[in-house]
Formats: sequence, structure tokens, C-alpha cells
Amino acid sequence: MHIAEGVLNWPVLAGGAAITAVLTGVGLKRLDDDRLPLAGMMAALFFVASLIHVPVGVGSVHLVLNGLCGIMLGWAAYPVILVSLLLQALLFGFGGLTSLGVNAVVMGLPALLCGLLFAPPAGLQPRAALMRGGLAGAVAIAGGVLLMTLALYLSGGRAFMPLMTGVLVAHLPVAVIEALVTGIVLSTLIRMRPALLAAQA
Amino acid sequence: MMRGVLIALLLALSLPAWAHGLRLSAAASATGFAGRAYYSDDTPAAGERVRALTADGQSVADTLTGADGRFTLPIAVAGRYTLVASGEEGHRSEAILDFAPPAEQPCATVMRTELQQLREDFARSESRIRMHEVIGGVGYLVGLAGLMMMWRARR
Repeated sequence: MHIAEGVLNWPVLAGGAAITAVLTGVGLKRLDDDRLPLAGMMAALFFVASLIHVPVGVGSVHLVLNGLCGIMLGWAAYPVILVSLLLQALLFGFGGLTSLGVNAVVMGLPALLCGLLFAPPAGLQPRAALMRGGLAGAVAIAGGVLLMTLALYLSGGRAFMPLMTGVLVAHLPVAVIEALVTGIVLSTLIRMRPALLAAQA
Repeated sequence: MMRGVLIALLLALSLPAWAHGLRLSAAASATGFAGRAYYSDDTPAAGERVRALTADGQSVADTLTGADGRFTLPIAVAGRYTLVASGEEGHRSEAILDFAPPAEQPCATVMRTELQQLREDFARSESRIRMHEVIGGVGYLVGLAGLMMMWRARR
């Protein structure tokens, strides 16, 4: 889901960077002091998740876990994802520095959406949390694929629908696995550490 | 939470396959360029488009990689070319190579194929994601969170 250097044209790159600058500012402002350690941990998780790779047909795709970030951190998920993406670009060569803003939009916006839609209310049962997390994981991937193909379409002039369906099909296994992982993590947390999920801004 | 992180780490480290990012390794042959496109986990990148561009950005050769990620690009004119591999999903990788049509002896051709193998091995080991990069990255994140806590505690 990382777009490399030199693929997008400059208006798309600039647009992505501008959106990222604004949302990072908002996210940092909304990050409470006592949730900072959690944010650091989620950043590490997101950073490492991209190395877990799922072979599909001829290509290979990897875990993203942006849905989980969104649920756990709300607005603060955006700067967390940005920092992790920066390190992935510098250390692993995934994506690139110029496309960092767009990649943050691609993975961060669905995370924010998941935070809004699926943040667990107080007293949620573990079983319901499993469903909710699963839904968030799948929605986050689908949203990411949608935004990524949109970015490629806007700067490539390639036909949108075939590109979209191809990339979507490639990411179906990832969506399933993300749904599973996100659901299980969320329900486990609700059962064992409900305080971690309480009162997120 | 800690356990989740640990499980993810273990999963990531136990898999021999490292994911994503398109890579390209190529060299000049007697008739053009030959090489291999692969993802950063060393799975071959099949069916990806590879082009050879001249210095002014004109595409002079265009091909798709085979199932094993290999490709050949026929080139006639000597000069410096940029090879560009690009995938459906916004992946892209470049290499700049010189091509000179050979006044070739058979022994040089053998030498070239041998060298190509070596080049590919080298590129593979160069682009592999290593343990210390993963640990370094996590270290940066811990440090960054710590710095931010310190800064906020001061205010």
C-alpha cells in the first residue's frame, strides 16, 4: 500500500502533503499526555506490521493495521502513522520521502474514519468487540485501497475501474487477515485491559 | 498490549519473507539489457512493466517480466539508459546503466553471465531488510515518544 517515489505527479504529492500537515497538527494537539506511551507502542506495532507479508497470486502484500491504530488512538493515529511511514521509507525503502504525505493520507484517513465509526463505547462485550474490530480492520484496508487507487488515477490517467478492482482483489486476503487481527486484539483488550480503551479523544 | 507487540514482532521475524517494495537488478548484455525484478521479500515480480529510457526520457524498449521476474530489453544504440520497472500498485524502481554494442569474444559472453549472477546476489543481499534495521526503527520510535514525554513534562 506504499506508493513509491516518482509515480505520482506534483499536484497530487502537494495535496497529500498539505492534508497530512493539517491532520498531523490536529492529531498532535489531541494527543493527551497520558496516552503518549500507548501512541509510541502503536507506532512500533504499525512500523513492524508492514513486514508481515501475505503472498497472493503473483504479488505480495503486507499487513497495515491502520484500523487498529484508529480505534486505539482516535485523532492521534495520524501523526503515529506518519512517523512510522517515515521510518519505513528510510529504513526499508517502502514508499518514499516525496510520497510520504500521500501515503499518510492513504493509510491515515481510513484510520481516522475507523476511530470515528468504531471506537468502542464503555461496557462493550468482548464478542461485540470482535465484530467491531473485524469491521474496522476491513474498512480501513478498503478505504486505503480506494484512496491509493484514487491517487494513482489522479496522476496517472490510467482507467480507474480496472486499476481499482485489480488492487482491491490483491488486497482481499489482507483485509480478511486485518479484520481477524484487529478483532482479536480489540476483544482481548476489552476483556483484559478495558482502561486502555476508555476516554480517547 | 505488550503481548500484542511481542506477537507481531515474533511473527515478523519468523517469516522468511519480507514484504513490499519493488526492486530491480539488471546489467548490459551483448544485445541490450537483461535483469530481474523482485519484491523486497525476494518474491519475483511477475508481469510488471520494464522500460528503457534514453537521457531525454524517451522510451526505446518496453517489455513485461516473466513469471520468474526476469526480463530482457533489446537495445541497438550505445549510450546511457535509465531502466524503470513499474507495478500496478504504485511501485516503481529505477536503475541507470550504460550499454555499448560489443566487439565480443565468446569468453566475454560467458564472463558476462557469470557476473550477472554475482550482481543479482549482491543486489539481493543489499536490499534485504535486516534485523538491525527493524530494531533500529523501533528504537527511534521509543526515543521519539520519550522525547515528547520529556518536552511535555517540562511545560
